[in-house]
Amino acid sequence: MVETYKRKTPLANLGLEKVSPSEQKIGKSLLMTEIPYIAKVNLRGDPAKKIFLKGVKAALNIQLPKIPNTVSGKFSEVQAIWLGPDEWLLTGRSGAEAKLLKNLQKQTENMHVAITDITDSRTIMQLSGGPALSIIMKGCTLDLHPNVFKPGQCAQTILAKTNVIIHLLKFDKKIGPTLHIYVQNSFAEHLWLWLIDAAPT
Amino acid sequence: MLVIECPWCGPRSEEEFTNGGEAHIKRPSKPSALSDEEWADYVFMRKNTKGIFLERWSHSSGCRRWFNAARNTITNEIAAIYHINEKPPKEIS
Repeated sequence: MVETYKRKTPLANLGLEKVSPSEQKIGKSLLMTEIPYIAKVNLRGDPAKKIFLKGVKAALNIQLPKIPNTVSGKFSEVQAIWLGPDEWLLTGRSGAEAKLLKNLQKQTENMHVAITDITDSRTIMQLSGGPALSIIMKGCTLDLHPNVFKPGQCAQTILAKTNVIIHLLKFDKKIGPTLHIYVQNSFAEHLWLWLIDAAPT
Repeated sequence: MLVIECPWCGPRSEEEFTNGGEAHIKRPSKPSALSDEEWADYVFMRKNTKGIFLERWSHSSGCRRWFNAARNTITNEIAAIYHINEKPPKEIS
């Protein structure tokens, strides 16, 4: 775990913290913000074993999603993103990773599981506004049509040659889609600048 | 670019996948009992099928799971996709 006072977001050298959220508007209707330091834990275990699911439910208070590429829970509290048939990405509030790990380890003791703290491996970019999905379409082969890619769904894919997890949180008729992009730290700056470049002015 | 249907994630672009070569090659149960020729056969020799070919794929930029596919090497059509621990569908084999 990183000492929190030494913590630096991978986008720190872009000076984003000095920009107020309203100024981060790109073009007319796209709002792009980084959500750094969100707790992230990678969980692996066999969902066919009821005792495992029960233990995780007791530790997190949410059910793990069994349907591929879906998300359960709330981003503001605890959230579980489907990564594979036996793999999930759990997220929690900033600084909650130690508690998440402890709870999970306690509830899955002596089980065949892997619990890994990956808080500082990725950062999250939040895109909201009408053009958010059409910008992503410029660098991604995924079918993002609203009939196919619906709120609550996630996908691991390639965006601008970078491996990302895309999670569509909601689709507001007035504001448009709100989505989270989980990107590895070393690709974060590239992706941020690519998104700005791809956004309509 | 092919569209390959991952058994977990559904149809995705070929660039998300990694080809793993011929499927259903069993590791010899007694490797030490093999002659050099037999071992080389296991390690290196692969079929070069014209037509339906059973091969492994990994959804490396997605869910990172391995699966099997029956691909026609002439037309690139994918005739069947099945899980890694399954046998090829009867209509193909």
